[in-house]
Amino acid sequence: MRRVHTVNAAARARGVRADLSLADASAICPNLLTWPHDPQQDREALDRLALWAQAVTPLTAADPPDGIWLDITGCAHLWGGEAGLMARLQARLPGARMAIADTASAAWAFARYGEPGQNDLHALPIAALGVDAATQRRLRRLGLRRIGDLAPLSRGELLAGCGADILARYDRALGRAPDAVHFLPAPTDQTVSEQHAEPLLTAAQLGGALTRLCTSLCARLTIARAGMTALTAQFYRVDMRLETLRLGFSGPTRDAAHIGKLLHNGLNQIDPGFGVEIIRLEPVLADMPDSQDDWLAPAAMDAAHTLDLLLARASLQRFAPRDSHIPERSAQRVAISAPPAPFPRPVRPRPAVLFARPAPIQVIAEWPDDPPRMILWRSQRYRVIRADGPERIGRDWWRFAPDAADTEAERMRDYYHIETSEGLRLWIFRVGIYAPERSADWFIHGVFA
Amino acid sequence: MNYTELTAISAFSFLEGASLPEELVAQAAGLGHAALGIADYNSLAGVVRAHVAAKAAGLRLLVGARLVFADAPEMICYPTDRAAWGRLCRLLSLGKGRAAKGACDLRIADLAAQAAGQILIIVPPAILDAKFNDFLDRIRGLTCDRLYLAAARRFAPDDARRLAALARLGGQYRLGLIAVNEVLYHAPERRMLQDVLRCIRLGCTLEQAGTRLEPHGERYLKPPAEMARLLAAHLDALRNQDEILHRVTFSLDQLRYEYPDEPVPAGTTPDEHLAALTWQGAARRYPETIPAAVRASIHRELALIAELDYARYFLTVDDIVRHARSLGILCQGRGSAANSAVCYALGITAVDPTEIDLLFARFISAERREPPDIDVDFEHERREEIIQYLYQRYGRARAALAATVIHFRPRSAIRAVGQVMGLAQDATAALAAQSWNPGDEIWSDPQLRDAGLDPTAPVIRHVVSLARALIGLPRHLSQHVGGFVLTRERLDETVPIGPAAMAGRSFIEWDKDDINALGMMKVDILALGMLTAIRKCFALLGIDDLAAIPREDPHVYAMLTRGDSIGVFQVESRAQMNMLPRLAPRCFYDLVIEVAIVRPGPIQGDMVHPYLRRRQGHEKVQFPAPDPAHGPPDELQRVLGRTLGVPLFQEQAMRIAIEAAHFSPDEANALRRAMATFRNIGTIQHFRTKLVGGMVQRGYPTAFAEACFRQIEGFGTYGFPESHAASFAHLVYVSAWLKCHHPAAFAAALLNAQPMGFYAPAQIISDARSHGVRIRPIDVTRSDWDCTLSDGALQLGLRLITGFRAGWAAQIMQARRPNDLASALACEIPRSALDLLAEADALRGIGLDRRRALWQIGQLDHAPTLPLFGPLTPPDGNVALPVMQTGEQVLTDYQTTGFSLRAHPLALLRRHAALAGTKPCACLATARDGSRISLAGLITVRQRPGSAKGTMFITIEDETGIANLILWPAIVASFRAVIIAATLLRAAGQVQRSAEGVVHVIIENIQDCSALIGTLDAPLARADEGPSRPAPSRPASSRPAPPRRPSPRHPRDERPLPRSRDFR
Repeated sequence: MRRVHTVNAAARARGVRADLSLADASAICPNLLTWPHDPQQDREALDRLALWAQAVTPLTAADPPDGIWLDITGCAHLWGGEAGLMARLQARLPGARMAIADTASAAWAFARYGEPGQNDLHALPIAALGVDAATQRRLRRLGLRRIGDLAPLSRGELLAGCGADILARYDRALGRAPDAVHFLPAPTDQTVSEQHAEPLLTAAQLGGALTRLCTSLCARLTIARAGMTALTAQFYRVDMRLETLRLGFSGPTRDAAHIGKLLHNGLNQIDPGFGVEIIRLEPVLADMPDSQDDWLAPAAMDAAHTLDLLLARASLQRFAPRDSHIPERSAQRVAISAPPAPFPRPVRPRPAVLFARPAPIQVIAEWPDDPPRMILWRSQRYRVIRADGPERIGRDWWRFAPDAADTEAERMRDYYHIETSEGLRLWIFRVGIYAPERSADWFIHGVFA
Repeated sequence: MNYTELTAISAFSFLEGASLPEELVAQAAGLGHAALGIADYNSLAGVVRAHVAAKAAGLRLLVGARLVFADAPEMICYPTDRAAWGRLCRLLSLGKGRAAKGACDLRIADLAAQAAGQILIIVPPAILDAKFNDFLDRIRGLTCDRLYLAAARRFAPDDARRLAALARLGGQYRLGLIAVNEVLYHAPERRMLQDVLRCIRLGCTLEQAGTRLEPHGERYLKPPAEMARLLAAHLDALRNQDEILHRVTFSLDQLRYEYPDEPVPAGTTPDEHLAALTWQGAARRYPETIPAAVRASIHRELALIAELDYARYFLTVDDIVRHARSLGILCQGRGSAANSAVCYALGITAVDPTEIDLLFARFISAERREPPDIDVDFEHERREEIIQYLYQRYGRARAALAATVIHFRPRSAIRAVGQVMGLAQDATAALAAQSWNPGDEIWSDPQLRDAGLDPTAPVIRHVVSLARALIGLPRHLSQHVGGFVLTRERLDETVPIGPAAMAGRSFIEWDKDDINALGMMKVDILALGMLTAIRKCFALLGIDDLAAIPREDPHVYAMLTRGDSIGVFQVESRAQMNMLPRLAPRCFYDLVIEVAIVRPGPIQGDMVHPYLRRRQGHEKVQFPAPDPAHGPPDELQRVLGRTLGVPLFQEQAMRIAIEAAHFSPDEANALRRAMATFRNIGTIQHFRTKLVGGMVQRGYPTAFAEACFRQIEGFGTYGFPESHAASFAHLVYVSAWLKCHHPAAFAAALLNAQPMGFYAPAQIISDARSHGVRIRPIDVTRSDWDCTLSDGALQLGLRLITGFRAGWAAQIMQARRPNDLASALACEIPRSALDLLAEADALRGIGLDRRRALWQIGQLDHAPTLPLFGPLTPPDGNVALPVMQTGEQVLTDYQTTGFSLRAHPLALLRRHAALAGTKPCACLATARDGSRISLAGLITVRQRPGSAKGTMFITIEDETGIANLILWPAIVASFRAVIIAATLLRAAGQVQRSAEGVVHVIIENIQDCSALIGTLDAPLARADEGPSRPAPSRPASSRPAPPRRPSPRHPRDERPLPRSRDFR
């Protein structure tokens, strides 16, 4: 049975809660919109948030399903003390519950189960120790509802009656045993970043920052004898969104002017929102000894730069196959970054050249569906000596409005593969059933090789 | 030129064919085809319908199957004679038996064994390659009747070349070509529906399906001239069809049904043996003398049975019932079979001909030529034994369940089509949520606009028209609930048998209409919970037989007239409890009426109130009479006398039609079938003019004739036959007698037979208590698995603990010694079982209350060396566990067993502020009609009957009793969220009191107070807790915290009280 996992405020106002069955929820609120719960997506979003939080401190970690850790030891003073840090985060994440404590477990407990102004761990419910629901139930049955209820029991009694897990959690919450939190990996070396108290809004401001960063980064790379093959520019916005710009280079480079130019071009894609407070550049490094700079001819260097500019500016597309009976819909355009997909071998013969728009032709053919004897195309007459067909292809009816006057039978196509006396091989079709009282429309759709 | 389509696929090739067999037949007949051949994918499910339609249309029908092999191309198989048909059925049964339900796994070697007498048309694959040549080489050696190659115009560019290649292959391998069109639907307009069906099967949208759909819409039945034109170069393929038409001589008419042979003593015929058994049984039923009328009935019935040759059928059913009795299983026939005196004599049914006027013609009549249909109810817990007996006695090859065809209904159709067309999910949900009355147009424009959709949008128009076309098409087969088919010869040589989803079950491909059409026999083996309860009660009291219960006990009728009927068969529902005081039954026939009257049929037909008024003397009982020229004045009195002039039973409706409107027996039969057709879509209207006209013509007043028709129409599917009501009334009496005289045993039996009935264990227990039964709580030192009687008190059993298993209870019972309390646990039950016992407070008997027991059991895991259950271990004095308060005890009782003997939750919550001003439910007994009252209680039953037009009935229960609430549709709509989600309700409304003292409350306002239940186990005040130790912490942010999102809790914590029973 499908159950509701989370609801938004509007649904909660209508009486829908988590854990209701989907049928009940739909009955309570008939126009409820639902989507399948995707834990993977949720986890990825949480990871992104944890990454964003690195703007405050380098040690952050995701706490699935819906929390993040920040180890702010030694960082608080940068943000105006603990109160200032809390205020800043609260402003960025208005719906979140937060708490600061000396141990990770205690912080977890207060954040999820504490009330503002409360600082007594013992008043929190047992669930604040992070035990699962079955254990909670059992402890509740035993009359142990709050963490404080555990205090009167001796360690031996706790161990015997409730188990080692409870004891360990209790110890961790009180700071008697260490917590283990796995923080996100540290950012790579050679990352440069700038932080602004006044958020940057205009292109000029952003451009200026980028230029400064670029220059300083390239200087460090020169000292380190490295070049970059790719560059990621991250813009941390005030509304907790992260904009990213990725550049790739055709060869390792540390030419500040060239890189700066590409960055400026890419600024068009960046939406600063209400302002960007932190900009960070993170390169992917490759060896590039000094001598390489010298023996590369200037022309070749230009070519490499031009290629970079072209790829960054133009949006190239390619064709990819689409599964459809309709000939002109059997291919679709996709961005060039999409993985290449091979075209399947056609089951039936298809022309090498397919006209984007079929051209009308005149035809002499026997009724009802014999191939034509002669066609008139672009004022030129062609005599047909051989023909295959008809190949009947019905319309993809679901893309068109139903119309009693215009039945599907009248919109299907009969294709003929004809060979003319001059040796041309053409692909022509007739629309609709050929009725004696109506002249049918014929078109040419392609040419065989 | 003649043409026959031999590759027609019907909608019984599920989710591929888009036309019903009847439509294919009609179209083929209309086009002037010489014949039609229906061959579905590995199935013969649709052939009987096609056969019936073809006979009516005068079209010749060939029946066969399209065989799909794992290791060979597809082949169409037409059996030429009866024996070959049997082989085809065996082949398909073999393939189905190997695969899961609905699938079929066939190999070419299987065909080789069953090929004699078959005409096989090979369907060539898309590409004619060397592999196909090899196949043709091998297949030549098959010992079938004839082998052909199918030749079709595929409208591909290489059609001409392919057909020429096929002709060459045919010449090379000596195979004739057969012209076919690979038909998937009967007319070109169905192409869109076929595309949709294929997408449903593939599970994708139309866009995603791509080339998996048919490229064109040519696969329909075409006129002979067109087929001749398309295959002009291969006219021999059309001529070869005549060979097939000539050689196939099989038709479904040749399926002669043979009843299984029942052993009869040497020298007697089945008729004689049946007669002997009948008279023996009659002598048992009437120990003094058999009444003359009954004797005459039996003679008449035996004569008719002999004439129609049904004796063996009766002997078969008699054998089943005898076997059940020999195992001590209670059983009783129901339905129209209860009209038979022979069945009564044999003990199959329980309706005495001297008490009820039986209409044998309702059961069997010479005109109808339908085989009889006997339904027998068995104890629901032991029905499986009877089913296994049937399989064992007749074998899997001669016994199988009938099938049921699951069709697309409006909701499933619109969902499926909406998904396939890629319609947004909320639009599909809005369409599926609509409801309408039968006869109205579904998804009309105004309805669509109300739902927020644009009726002119192309995708909506497509979806609506396609969904309308999809309704009624079959979706898949499923097993019938209890209808068994038994045959003398192998059943799988008449129809393919396949496995059901349940293990150990198999069912045939035909449903009960198909079985009827072919004259096959079916016995319905059904389950009835009350029979189990009655037998268990008998076992506790030492009663042997239903016949041992004294008849017509006035105390029983007095109890029922009070409305005191919780647990009594059929009359325990809210509606029945309200009817009992009004109807005030005083004799058996009154019970028959009571059973039949509270049903949607009589309610919709407006018969209930007229009957009650006449019964209570408010209205004069009178019978309109026809014109003296046409009929006697007491014509209707004979039919309607016993029911005071109001038709309440199906037979009365039929009799009115026959006697008052002069329907012929066939017409009356058709009327009965129209009344019984499930979801009759207006068929009954045909009869309106005939009935009303016929009656008026014979002198009846028009108003009366119209009223009669309305009443008959109201029967729909829900009216009872009188004999059926009488069978049920018998059980009503028996269960009421048991409740009246042995309430403890009756309550124990009901609890032991759960799940069944209208009420949950909590209500059964509290009802028993209010009748003075002493109840002993669940106790591991005294309780069995079942509830038992001990000293006249009801000892509750371990089965009432949610999640406890019978196996554990058996271990406990075995280890238990009478004077050693702790011995009960000296067995090997697992830790989880001990937890359940502890939480259910079943360990008090050995001195451990809940907390203590849980604590000590916990120690088993964490400190196994600690002694646990020594003889009366003194509680561990050092452990400082808080004492469990009453509220928490009650809540935990409900969580673990579904009821509590300590107190009702409302008794503890009454003083809460949220329930201020509410009165106990017991106040309703003396409340004045029209007064306003505020009540609170746990919801025990929610009911929204289809006949009540959206009105809802809710029963709430508090510590003093129950209250019945009525909510009008407007109230239901405004408080929908509360009604669905609430467990504890506060309700305010107006009292409605009837003349007989039946009380309802018409609700104006309700509030969900379910949160109060959580307060039952609230902790004590802070001062009582131990000293708190300082913990490392920091002040949290000074901003107010946003609303807490509750972390997921165990479902039982969210909903500690058991869910109410919900009914339509």
